[in-house]
Amino acid sequence: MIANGISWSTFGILYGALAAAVILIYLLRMARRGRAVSSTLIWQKVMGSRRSLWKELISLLLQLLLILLLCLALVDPRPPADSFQRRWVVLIFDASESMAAHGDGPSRLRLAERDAWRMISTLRESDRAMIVSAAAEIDALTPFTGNQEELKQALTKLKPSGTRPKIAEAIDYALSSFAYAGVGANDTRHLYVLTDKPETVVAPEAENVQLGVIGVGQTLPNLALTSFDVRKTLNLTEAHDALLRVTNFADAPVSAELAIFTPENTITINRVDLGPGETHNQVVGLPFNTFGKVTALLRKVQFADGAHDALASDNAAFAFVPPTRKSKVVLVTNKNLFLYNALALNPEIDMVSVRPEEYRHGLSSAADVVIFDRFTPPQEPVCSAMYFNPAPGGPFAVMSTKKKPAMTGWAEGHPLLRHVVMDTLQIDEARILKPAKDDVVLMGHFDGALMLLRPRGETFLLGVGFDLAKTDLPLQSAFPIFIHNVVHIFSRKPEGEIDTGHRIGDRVDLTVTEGRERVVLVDPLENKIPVAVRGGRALYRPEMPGFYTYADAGALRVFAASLLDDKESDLTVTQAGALPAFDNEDGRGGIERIAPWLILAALLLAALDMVLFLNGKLS
Amino acid sequence: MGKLFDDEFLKKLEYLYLLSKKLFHGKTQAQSRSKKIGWGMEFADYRDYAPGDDPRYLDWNLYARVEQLVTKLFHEEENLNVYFLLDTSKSMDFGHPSKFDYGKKVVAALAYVALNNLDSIAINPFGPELLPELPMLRGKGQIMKVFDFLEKLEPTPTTDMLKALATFTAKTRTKGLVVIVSDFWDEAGYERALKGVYSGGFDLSAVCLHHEYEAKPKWRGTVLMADSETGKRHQVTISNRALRRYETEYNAYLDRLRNTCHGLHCHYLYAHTSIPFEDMILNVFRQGQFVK
Repeated sequence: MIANGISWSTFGILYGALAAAVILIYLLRMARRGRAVSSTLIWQKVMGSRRSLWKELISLLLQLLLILLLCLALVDPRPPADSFQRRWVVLIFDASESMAAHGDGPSRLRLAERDAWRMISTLRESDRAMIVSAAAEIDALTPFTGNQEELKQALTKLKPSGTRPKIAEAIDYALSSFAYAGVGANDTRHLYVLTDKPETVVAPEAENVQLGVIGVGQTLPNLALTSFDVRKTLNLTEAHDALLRVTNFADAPVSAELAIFTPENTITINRVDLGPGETHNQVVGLPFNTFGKVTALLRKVQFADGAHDALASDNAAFAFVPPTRKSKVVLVTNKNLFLYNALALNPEIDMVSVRPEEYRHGLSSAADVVIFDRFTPPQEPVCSAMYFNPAPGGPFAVMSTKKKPAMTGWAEGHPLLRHVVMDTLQIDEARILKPAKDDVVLMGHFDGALMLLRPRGETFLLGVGFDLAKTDLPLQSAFPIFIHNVVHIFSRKPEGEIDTGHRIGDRVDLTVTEGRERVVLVDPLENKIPVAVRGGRALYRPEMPGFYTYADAGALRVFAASLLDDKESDLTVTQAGALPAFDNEDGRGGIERIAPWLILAALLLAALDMVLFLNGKLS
Repeated sequence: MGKLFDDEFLKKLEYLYLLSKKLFHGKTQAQSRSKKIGWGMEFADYRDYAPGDDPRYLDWNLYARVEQLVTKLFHEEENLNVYFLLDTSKSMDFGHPSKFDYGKKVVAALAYVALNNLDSIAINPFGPELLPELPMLRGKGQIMKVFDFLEKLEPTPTTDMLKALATFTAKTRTKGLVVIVSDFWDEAGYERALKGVYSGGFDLSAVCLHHEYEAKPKWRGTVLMADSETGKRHQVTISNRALRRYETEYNAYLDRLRNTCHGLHCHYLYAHTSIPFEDMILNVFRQGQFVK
């Protein structure tokens, strides 16, 4: 036997001390003074003539045995590890959202849990098992343990969350766990993956490990929102479009209602009819100034064969559209109505118009864009700027002035010239600008450029080498679009950076003010979740679809999370199976821990002592 | 006046006396009928005339009818003699108040009532033997002697009821009512002692005094008990089961005492010292054994 608790020598000292104390107490009790009573006549009859010395001795022996058992329990003696063969079992559960799908009975995850419990209950006391949850993150719910109650508790903690479960990583983790767990030479290793997509699991080559992939559940019908994206409209205005895709993963036709709404307004409701496996794409233009929480919802789902939708979490998708801000533009012109009107009529622009003599450099610090019409200030503005017919000595070097300059080409794919055609542009006179290093020529000339874009840190300078009064550009329909493109791009983030939603299980980087130690997140069920800030970042993986809010620097921030995953919504199960039950008739098991039995024996002994005492059998 | 018999005690005695008069209203003083056949007022029996008989008691009417001389016999009317036999053994010196003090109060109270009834009383304490007695007293004014005598009584080491009561029976010629106040804890037994008194022609009345812990012990666990009289030690493990057995044996012991008393036409009274002594005395009155 190997002492797993206190050492054998400590045991000897402890037991010796306790036994000596018990014997001392026994002797003191024997020697104590008597209690005077008026007569012992009745007591003599009660006790009879029996001398109670043997009772005392048996009582003493029982107490010595009791402390012996307890001291042995502290030693926690165990047989050597190689005296029996143990099984080491790792159960990896696919905890992705599709495991929440259910038909008429329990969910796939609960089916897997039952199957696992059935197998765990066949483990011997000396066997060890570990529960691993694999979703967007790998979570070992227990270490290797023989405590079946602990394993059972861990099984109840399994819950679906996220997409794209990291099964392969979980298998790697399990294999490395075998290596560090102290698996004996005679022991066997078992690794089982319980998933509803067994065909996606690639079983690695691992020596001495019995690996099994168990398919859970059966194929179920599902209608899902597989895509929901909100983005700026293609014409670079501040309005948004919602792009949706609905997919029928069932073998039967389905009809449903698709609604898009904000907390204040219903934007659209339309009916969707899809055949088996069909997909419906829809673009919904959101009214201008629609921002905040936008929800897409599939409801009244009816399959032709009467089946019900097996997964609810993909019937709703969420997006959070940040509020729009008008671009602040300072127009420095001497009554150029073309420019003035093009800016004044744009609802997304907040314009201030000043005469050249009224312009002060300080105006540029509060603006997104300054447009100089036939005026070149001595000092470059702080913000982005656009110069029409820039004078020599300004930011752009003027090479020459040309009558009816021939345009050699224009940057057709450039965002500033999106939806604009310059092929027919007529220019009466223009200043030829000299491109500098890193300048982008948007409109070329044999000698230089007619239009130049110069990046300047986070701002831009755009030089247009001609006067609007000496070109037909203001008369073309492209003019307001060109002005809008310039203002929009110069004052806004690029379109691709608009963050409207996340997939559940993906990591969300929360915006936090420097110096904060934690953020309290409120999930869609109004639960408050503290998120620690480490290295200035607060990272969180949303586990359920919906809106999440948190406060930062006095502002309430919101992000949205949705399922939106074709693979998770496809509830097809190709191979269903069940975990094997272990055979315990091979004679390789054994009692590993003796301490609990010693404690049990001590308790029984104490109970026996008490019963005998109460019945007068012992002193 | 000592602690035992203070003014409060005297008030209680007066109350008890008045209560006894009310309970036995109609009885005349000093008219206790003795079993002795003599020359009193109440007819008892006839017997053949013998020379020397007082001719005043010949039944001449009967002689006229049957021509036979017959002498009429009457109950002799005399005062009742009450003998209080108080157990002074160590076993009585137990509890708070001790059975000994309680017994003294009982004896004092009964003596007071008896003296008020113009009965004669004597107090005979006993322990391992019959101890010096308080001789026969009569009259209410003698009560202070009773108090003084009882105050001075001290517990004696042991009990030998047989020896003490046999001595009492042998030396006491005038019969009367014997009131034995004791806990009846005597290893030699009490039956023969009581029978001896009864056989000696005395009326018997037994008052058994126990502390409530003797009826229901409060101890638990292993106790080394020391007998107050014998000094013997007994290690006793008091478990629930032992308590149940104790209760059974205790009740059996009391049953035997009661049956013995009834067999001897003896009034029997059992009381705890936790009961106020005046209540206990009233029980004596209610049994009608004391004032007749």
